[in-house]
Amino acid sequence: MSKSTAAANGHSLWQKMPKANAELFALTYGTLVTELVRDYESTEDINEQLEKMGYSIGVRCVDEFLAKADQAGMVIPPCRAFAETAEVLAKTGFRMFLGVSAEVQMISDSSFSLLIYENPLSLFVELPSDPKWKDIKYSNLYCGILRGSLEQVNLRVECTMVKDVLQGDDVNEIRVDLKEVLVDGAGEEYDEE
Amino acid sequence: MSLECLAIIGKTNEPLYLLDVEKEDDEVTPDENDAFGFVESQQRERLSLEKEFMMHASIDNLEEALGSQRQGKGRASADSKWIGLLCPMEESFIYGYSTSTNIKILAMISDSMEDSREVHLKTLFAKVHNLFVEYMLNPWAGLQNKIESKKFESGIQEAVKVYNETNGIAWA
Repeated sequence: MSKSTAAANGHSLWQKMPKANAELFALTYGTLVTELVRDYESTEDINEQLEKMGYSIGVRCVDEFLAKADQAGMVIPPCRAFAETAEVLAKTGFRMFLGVSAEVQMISDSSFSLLIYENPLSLFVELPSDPKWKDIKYSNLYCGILRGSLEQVNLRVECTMVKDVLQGDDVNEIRVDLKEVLVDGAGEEYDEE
Repeated sequence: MSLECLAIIGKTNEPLYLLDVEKEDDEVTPDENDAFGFVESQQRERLSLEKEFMMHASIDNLEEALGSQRQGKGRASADSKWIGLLCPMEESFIYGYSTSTNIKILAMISDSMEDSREVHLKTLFAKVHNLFVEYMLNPWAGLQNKIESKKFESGIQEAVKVYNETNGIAWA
């Protein structure tokens, strides 16, 4: 699937999605993170919880994505290389759900970076200058979403936030590494006889 | 006519943000200026005690103005947030502005001319109000705490600079 069709698909799917108020969305996420901060002591726990939440979101997102695309008459063929997956994620997936496009930077055959310039989750957010906030990954939800959705299509990945605008960098960068291509199985309970 | 200092006062009259625009380097009493415990933020301009007292005194006038307004018609128009000249001190005037959530903004203008550049001042207050709203949208901003945010401070510095410049040009 070429880059331009992915972008075009993303744009038209975005048009069809029901919209929510961006400020409400950002403020809700902000209170979610501050609640986590109140509940958990260490920033690692907070990051982990955000990732877990993202994982449950991601697991459901991918079905919606494929269903909506099908309804819209778009053909999203099975990706032949990991690079294609990256393009579809960045241009179509992100665009459809968040309205922002991401850029892909391939690092190797099995890992890439997603660069997000405008992050709708961190509107108005400014991290306090206390050194303990250096390690918090505010947008770690995205990492979970990517991990969850790719797992549903049999790709086990590990995602980490490498750069964060809230921590002073100029772009948000999420590194995605492919660990394993899973084989379809019915689970351990079923014994094929 | 230049802005001497700016203060943002909360609902229960607690100070949220104080800015002294004229930095007087021959102030020999740094500890006295530290009345609000601003030691940790070295970059912030400290408000001299004298100015602080003057601002505090004008809050009385402000309360009076607000009280009577409440009895009258409701605050409908955008202009009704503006209170106006609160009290003329020795060499300066203090203007006030109140938001609908009872956050008050006070500005002390050193004025030798009896020329009221209220339009510019109203723009300044509107900008400060906007910056305050954006600051409040940050999930980490405390509801009753002092305002500590680089973005807010740089925005205020910018707005104050623009105000002083527009007034400077108008003079010449």
